[in-house]
Amino acid sequence: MGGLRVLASRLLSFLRKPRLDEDLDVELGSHLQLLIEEKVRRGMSAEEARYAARREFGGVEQTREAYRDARGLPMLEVIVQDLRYALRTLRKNPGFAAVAILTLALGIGANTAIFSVVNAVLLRPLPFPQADRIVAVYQTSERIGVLRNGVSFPNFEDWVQQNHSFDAMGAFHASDITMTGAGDPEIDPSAVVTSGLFSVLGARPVAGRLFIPSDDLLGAAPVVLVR
Amino acid sequence: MMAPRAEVLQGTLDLIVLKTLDAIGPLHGYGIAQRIQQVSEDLLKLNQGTLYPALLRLEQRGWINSNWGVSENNRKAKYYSLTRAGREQLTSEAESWERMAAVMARLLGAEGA
Repeated sequence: MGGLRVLASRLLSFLRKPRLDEDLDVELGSHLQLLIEEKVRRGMSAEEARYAARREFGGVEQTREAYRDARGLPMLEVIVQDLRYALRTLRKNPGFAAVAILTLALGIGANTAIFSVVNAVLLRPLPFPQADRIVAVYQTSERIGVLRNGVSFPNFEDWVQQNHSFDAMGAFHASDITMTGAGDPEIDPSAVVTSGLFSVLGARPVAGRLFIPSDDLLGAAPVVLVR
Repeated sequence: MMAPRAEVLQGTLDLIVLKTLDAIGPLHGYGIAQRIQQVSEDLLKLNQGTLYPALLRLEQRGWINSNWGVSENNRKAKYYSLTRAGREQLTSEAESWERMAAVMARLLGAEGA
């Protein structure tokens, strides 16, 4: 593969640039010297010979440029040059550098924070199986303009009985509780729930059992699920 | 009166260099330039500096390789020689050049007739 071979050669040259620049200078120097000596042998003065040799050779600097462009990775070389220049400039203006770095830091920080929230709230699905089919159902009271109200338990029981739309339905009432009795008291999140909620969420117990429909009945023994 | 000197045609320099190395064997850049001017009897105008990017291109493609040596005036000089791939390249490029030249000759001849 010709292209690959050329690329490999260019990459190697990029890494060995200073050495190769020196090589090229030696090579072009030898050429010019041979040309000059030839012209002196033919009877020119040293001055004339040097002048004529340069003319015959063409621009040494142009040759060097064309050679370098074909040898290394000119794009990369320009980028490296720009980076060096940027670093030098920043070091010369520490005040400006500090402001620039601070601006970048704040910008990146703010974006990261916002993205973390967006990712958790909007992008990442809920950690339940078939999360896209889980919905929240509210009671509405259009007359007084309340669109998302909780539901009374008897009404919820009616919903469950007349339900044709959902595989399962569960109700919950969340409220933090204060735990006391062992060491310092602490506030823990908790909720009163019906057994149907676990079917909705597709949850499985690590040990013991989840709530079952008979736990929902009036007068059933109290049951607790700890996580 | 002297004939005007022709510029080296775009793309022909590579072929010229390959042929020169094939004919003479390892040579440094100066030697190649001298030889080209000798053979063309100074009808070809060659900026000798343009040889070097061409030599680099040929070396990158693996058609020639280079070794440091000492020139006739005892200076460090890079000697270029043809590789096997370079010889094959020379053969195929020379053929296509001759085909092209034949076509051109026929075309120009036909127009005159």
